[in-house]
Amino acid sequence: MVELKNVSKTFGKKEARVEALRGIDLSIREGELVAIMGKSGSGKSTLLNILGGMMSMDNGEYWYDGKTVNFRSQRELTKFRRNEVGFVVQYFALADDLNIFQNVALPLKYQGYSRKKIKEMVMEALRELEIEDKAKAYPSELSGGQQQRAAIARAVVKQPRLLLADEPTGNLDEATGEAVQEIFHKLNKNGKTIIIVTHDAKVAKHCERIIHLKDGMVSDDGLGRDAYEEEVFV
Amino acid sequence: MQRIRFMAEEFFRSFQKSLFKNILLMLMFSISLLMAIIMCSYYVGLGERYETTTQKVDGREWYPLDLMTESGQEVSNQFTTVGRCRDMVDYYETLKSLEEAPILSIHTSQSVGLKEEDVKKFFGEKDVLPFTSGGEVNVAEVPFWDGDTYLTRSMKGAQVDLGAYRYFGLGTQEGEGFTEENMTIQRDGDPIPLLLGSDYKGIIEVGAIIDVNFEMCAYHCKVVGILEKGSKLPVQGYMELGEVQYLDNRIIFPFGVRLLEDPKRAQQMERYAWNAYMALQSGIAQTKVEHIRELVETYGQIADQFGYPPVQIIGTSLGLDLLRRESAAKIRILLILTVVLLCFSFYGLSVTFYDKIQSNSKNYGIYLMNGCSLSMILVPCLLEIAVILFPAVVIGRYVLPAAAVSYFRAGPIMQAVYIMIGAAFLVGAASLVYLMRGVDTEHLIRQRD
Ligand SMILES: Nc1ncnc2c1ncn2[C@@H]1O[C@H](COP(=O)(O)OP(=O)(O)O)[C@@H](O)[C@H]1O
Ligand SMILES: [Mg+2]
Repeated sequence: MVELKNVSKTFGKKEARVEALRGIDLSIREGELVAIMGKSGSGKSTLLNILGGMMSMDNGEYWYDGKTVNFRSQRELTKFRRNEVGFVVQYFALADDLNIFQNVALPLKYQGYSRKKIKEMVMEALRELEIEDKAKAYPSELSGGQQQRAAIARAVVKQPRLLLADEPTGNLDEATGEAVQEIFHKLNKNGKTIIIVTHDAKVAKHCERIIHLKDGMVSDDGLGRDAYEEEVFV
Repeated sequence: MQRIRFMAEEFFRSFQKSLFKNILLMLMFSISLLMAIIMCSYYVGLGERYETTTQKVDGREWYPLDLMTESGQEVSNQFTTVGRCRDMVDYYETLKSLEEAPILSIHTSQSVGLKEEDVKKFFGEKDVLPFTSGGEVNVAEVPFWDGDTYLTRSMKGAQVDLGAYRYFGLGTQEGEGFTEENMTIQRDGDPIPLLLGSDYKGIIEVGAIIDVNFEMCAYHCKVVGILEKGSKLPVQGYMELGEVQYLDNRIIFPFGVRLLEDPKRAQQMERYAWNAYMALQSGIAQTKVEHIRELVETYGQIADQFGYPPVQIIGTSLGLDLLRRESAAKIRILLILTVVLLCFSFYGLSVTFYDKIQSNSKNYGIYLMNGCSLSMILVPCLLEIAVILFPAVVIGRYVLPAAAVSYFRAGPIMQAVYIMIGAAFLVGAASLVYLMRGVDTEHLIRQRD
């Protein structure tokens, strides 16, 4: 479903130049649950942002469902983000001046659902993530875990085929992290393709496949359990 | 529907957030637009009156003058001393003799009061009706000299100054026409020249001495000539309409009688002041279009010199008309103020929206991340700019032309309004697009974290 070919990305110029990604080749099939691991600064977020159509790349190709994603066309990129991807980032990215209901409703509004349908779908997602009582609350009134649940609710509410999560448990305590992890697992069971960037070996452990990044390159791409063992003892 | 709702909500939230700033911007744009238009109008003749108020003759524009509309009272109230009356006479003489804009005075349907006893004497059994103005009901007790009242009949009349007499090629079949000499009298009481239309032949003789009452003043007059048969003048001097006034049954009274010696009493002098005043009121300034602003300024200076309000030139641009009482220096300061305010308005708009976008960048990033399109973010911003500019449009569209009296040409003013508003909108839109374009969505979200 997702295929990257020789993708590279650099930030900054001259001395400040950072090669975040250096020729990434990657292929992910529909329904996979993939973890991307690697040291801080290895290019995980950059990779995920490119996969989500949130960041342009310098070189390489991004094939999605057998078609290239055209990063030059704002219109196509918007469509891609609107219809294909759900995105969860480490710092939640909830709009402060919208309440939880409004935040979760955002993607549906862009898709042009009716008001009634939006209400139904949002409440359903909130219920699934067990924060339906917080619909009217504002992000600042929620705990980190609740905020992340809201962010996940927003990512899944429109039923995207591809779910991308950048360190979804990074800001959460262990128990909450576990719960969030459970949610992803459940979603994957229901057929969603999920790519999770994580530091957390416990998170990665649940994944069938773990891709390791090192200095902007794929250093290892293998089965979850093996990778998990490695990570723990290094 | 939901997309429109989203944009509407974005717009309201954003507008509310910077309500005070937005109101300030609205005010600034309204005021600066108003000032800019008046300044444009003043300096480059934007929104001149309709062509029909002026006419072009021999390469010069003929502008009707007006001294009465707003200031009738304040002018004639001052004719209470010999000095002020003399000032009015000199005011008129000075304006009239401006080389760059000579003044013709012409009035084609005045009415001239003759004592009923004189009418009886001259007409005898002859029918007086064709010569009277206003039909039968035109005989009344009217004050003449020093409060003496006489039964007076209103006769058809017309009034021209020497310039108009010559310009329109009037001539006499008997006696002489208006001349420098007969228009100049030594002292009050010396007879003022009067011309008669051709039909008066055999009714009143050349050389006859008559008292006439004219514009509530009595004058001692002498008939100096009888006009050629069929003499005519364009109505109020306005040739382009093609309407003419035949003078055959009219009494022609002069504008611009020059009195050399001041009389002792103001009452004696007052009629000459009125004569000068009416000459200005019925005057037409002939000038080149490109000199009109200088002329307005010159009129202002001359008015100050004599302590009378400036003569209004009908047919100038809105700005010239509104500011005709202000000094040139003041107007220059106004111009500078306008430019400064205009710059501030544009600057304020840019800064406000730059700020707005900077502080909203995280939200924009979140919207984009969730599938919002760039245009759904831009539209509310543009709408906000449009709303900020809206009062200025209203003022430009409705208030300004209304304040400018209907006979100004609103078209060019409106074009100027639209150009200015369009420019402001484009500046806003361009800076928005510039700020938003090519930025990584992910980068936007991170801006404030
Ligand atoms: N917007 C940016 N501007 C400049 N450098 C960046 C930017 N984003 C990431 N980088 C750099 O690119 C490299 C990879 O970053 P990132 O993908 O965030 O790594 P990770 O998520 O694995 O910690 C890092 O060295 C980081 O400093
Ligand atoms: Mg990262």
